Amino acid sequence: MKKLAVATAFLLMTMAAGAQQQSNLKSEFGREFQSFGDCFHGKFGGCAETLVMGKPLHLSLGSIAPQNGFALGPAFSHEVNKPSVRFKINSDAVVSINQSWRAGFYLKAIPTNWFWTGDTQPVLNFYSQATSLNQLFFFGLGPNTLKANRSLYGMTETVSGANAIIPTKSPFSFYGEFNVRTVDIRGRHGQSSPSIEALFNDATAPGLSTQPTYVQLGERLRFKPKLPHRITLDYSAMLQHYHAVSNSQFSFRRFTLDFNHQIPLRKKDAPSQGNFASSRGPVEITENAKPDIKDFSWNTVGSLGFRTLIVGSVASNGSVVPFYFQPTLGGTDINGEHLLPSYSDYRFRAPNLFLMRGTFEHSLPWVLGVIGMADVGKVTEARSDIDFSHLRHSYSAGMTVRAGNLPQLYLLFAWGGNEGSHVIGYINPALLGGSPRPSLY
Amino acid sequence: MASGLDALKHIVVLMMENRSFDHMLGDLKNVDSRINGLDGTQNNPDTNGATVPMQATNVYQSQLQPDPGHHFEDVRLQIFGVDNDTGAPNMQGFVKSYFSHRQDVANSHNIMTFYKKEKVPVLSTLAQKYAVFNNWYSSLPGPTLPNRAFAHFGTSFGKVEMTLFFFGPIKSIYERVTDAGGTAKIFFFNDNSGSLGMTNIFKNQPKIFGLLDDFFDGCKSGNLPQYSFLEPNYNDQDDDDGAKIANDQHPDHNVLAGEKLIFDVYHAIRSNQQLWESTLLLIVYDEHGGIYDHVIPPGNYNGTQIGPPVAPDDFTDASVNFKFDRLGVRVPAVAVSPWIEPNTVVDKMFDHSSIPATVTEKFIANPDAARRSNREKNANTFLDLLTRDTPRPDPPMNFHMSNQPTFGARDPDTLFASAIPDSANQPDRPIHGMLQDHVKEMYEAEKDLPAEEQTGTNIADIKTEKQAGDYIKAVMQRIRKHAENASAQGAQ
Repeated sequence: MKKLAVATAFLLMTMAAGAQQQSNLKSEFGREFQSFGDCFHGKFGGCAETLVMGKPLHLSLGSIAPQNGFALGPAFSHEVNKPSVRFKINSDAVVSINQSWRAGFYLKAIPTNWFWTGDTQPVLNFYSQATSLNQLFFFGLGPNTLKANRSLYGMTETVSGANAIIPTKSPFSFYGEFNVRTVDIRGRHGQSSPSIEALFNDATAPGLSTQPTYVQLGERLRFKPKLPHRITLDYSAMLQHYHAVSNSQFSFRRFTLDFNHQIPLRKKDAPSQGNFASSRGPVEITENAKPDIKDFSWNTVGSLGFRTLIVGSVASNGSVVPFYFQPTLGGTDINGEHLLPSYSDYRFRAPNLFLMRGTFEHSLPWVLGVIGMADVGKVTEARSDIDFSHLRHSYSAGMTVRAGNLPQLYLLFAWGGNEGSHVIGYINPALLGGSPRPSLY
Repeated sequence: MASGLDALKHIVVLMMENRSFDHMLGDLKNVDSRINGLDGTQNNPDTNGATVPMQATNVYQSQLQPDPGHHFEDVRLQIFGVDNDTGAPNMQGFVKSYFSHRQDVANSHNIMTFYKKEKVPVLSTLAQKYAVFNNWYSSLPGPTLPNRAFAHFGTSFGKVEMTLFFFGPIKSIYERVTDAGGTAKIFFFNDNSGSLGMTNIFKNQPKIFGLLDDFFDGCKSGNLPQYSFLEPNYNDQDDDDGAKIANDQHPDHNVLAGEKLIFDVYHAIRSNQQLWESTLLLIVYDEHGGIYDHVIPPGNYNGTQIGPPVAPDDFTDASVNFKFDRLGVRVPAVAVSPWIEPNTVVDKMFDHSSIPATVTEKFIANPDAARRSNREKNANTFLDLLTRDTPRPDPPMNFHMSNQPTFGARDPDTLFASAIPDSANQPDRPIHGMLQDHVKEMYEAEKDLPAEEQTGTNIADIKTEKQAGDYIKAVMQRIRKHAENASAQGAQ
């Protein structure tokens, strides 16, 4: 909490300094404080809107990592436009009910006179973020751990660095990142499950007793062609280098291959016979050309999706991947991604991961839709074990609220895998906006 | 041969954000005096009493920070010059209004800026080549959502502010068209951008919604709804692909990105010849965004009528005692179709309710099958712009982008170097009016030559641009040779 207080003070000092230097920022503060006056004039709707969406100050609300609850705190956002660059500054400091917290500063720069890459501009992100999570699950490493072996730990991680996304006019885009990470692992005591050190040690949970500082580099190539009929292919290959500065025993590399496919289900929307326009105007336009222009359009009523995700880790002889940087399957992972959702959060953990997912979603009358997903996957301690054998499975089905042809809100019931079931609700992350946060593993 | 109105099968409306007519198109008065733009006499007082003229100092972004005020109270100050509406409107409060949002006198002058036509080549070229509206006004002196509601419903249901939900007794134009057996759709940019103010017609989704990429695909394949309403990207976005900056032109979004969107829409339609010959494109802005315009909006001002009468809609906003009997500030509006005569300037009064009125006139056989607002029923429609008997044979326009990759060294204002009217060499293209006049001019010049030096061409046989070029060249050579001979004889 002490660190959170320092981070909050830093946030407030940053805003105060900004307020002195930027007259536009000053004017934003002035208007925001004026709009708070609504609270005292019975306009509670406007007051609530200012509290949640106001600029430059507002409240930030959301979950930070599974098992740590919803977090709430002040957030600052401001934009500075120069003739050829747009800057977006975000900063927030939130704390959850179990006293987990996150504080971060994010600066995004978008050059706007960069039309030679087509409609998409490069993005440069600079960030510094500290996260303290008081409750995370650890069941041991590998695919065959027991649910009964659940232990708890806490973690504080700071990540400071930058990344750049460089689009091209082709279907390829490039990504590079550089950051410095520090991690501090601690036990979690006094809960219904034992603390991690009670069940595991450095041999069974590498990095439990010592956590070096990391310098991390990463590069990614993404291939996302525009295909007919809105069929989406989204392939990416990423390589990350984790260099442990003080103890090379923990240095490793990770590759991530992610292949997403989406096939829209579409329905033709055509005017009825005898429509006014058709009956009124002649169809022929020129003497020599019979037009084939049709008065119809396609509605996206659903989609089929297929995803294959492969994560592999490479450590040289004698080196290991610390457990806290290993990917997890089950429930929701530390970055908020739902993988094998019927299982407990963080249920399976290992240096390597393999997942396949099929998704079907379709609209119903009004704004509702249905969705079904099937996941199969596993984690492995050896890369050579990535194959189709002994895959865990999870099914989920539920309702969606659709807007603009696409599902936006999800409520799912997940089952399968003989370890119980889960109810999951989430919102399309595209609607949440904000600055992308660095991955925590 | 079918007339333009009979050939019309698609109406496409692209609604941009928050720019005034003078700001975007006022400079066109310098090339066409019929266009009611800027002549150098327009100004506003600032808060120090100094006179601030309109100046062509606009850049594409960074000048309008913070966002100029455009809510009802802001627009009242802009129109009346004072903080109430009891006096006469004078359009003298724009600088004062902007100053109230940021106590910075120099910054408040930015509200009195406009683009030279070369800086917005897409919009200004389309305005000159097709039809520009001298009197298209936002539907009410207020912000985005109620103004856009007039485009969707023909009314804002009595709202002058940014109320998010419009559950009213009048159906949207999309529902009315589809109920009548037709097709209509709102194409919005993507999820992150969404559809502004159309939450209440989610109930008919997905039939009524599509993504802008669907529209572009439809242009390629020739499959479009009868009525398409296009929404730009309202916010800067970035994902794993890179950033898509907002292209709605809302201050302080990048105006050039909006120019590119306008061009992309024009180009998508123009690239399909049959679609081009059956489509009417309207580019219009939802409201002025607090930026100066010199024309007092028509309406009833305390019993004094200015301009044509404005038909009130069926609702009143009691909170501000607004009766919807006057319009909002003037906005840019341009209509594009090969059935429109070149350089058309439209003087009739329009507001956004003219959009559903026009769509109804064309695509709904029984206009009164569903309730319509009084404003919409009395609104002018713009189908009568399609006056030609044959579609214009103009070549597609293109726009040159100087696209050398630089990291800020190049002036961003020169990104679009110029508009190039003839993008491709098409020698067999039919001769157009200006070239016909040129041929006639050469014919008259040729008649002064001795008979043996004349080309003997029957200019009635000149049908293509190549033939015209060959003829002009031949006459020029003969005139030059004749002059050289005369000069040589004179020397002897």
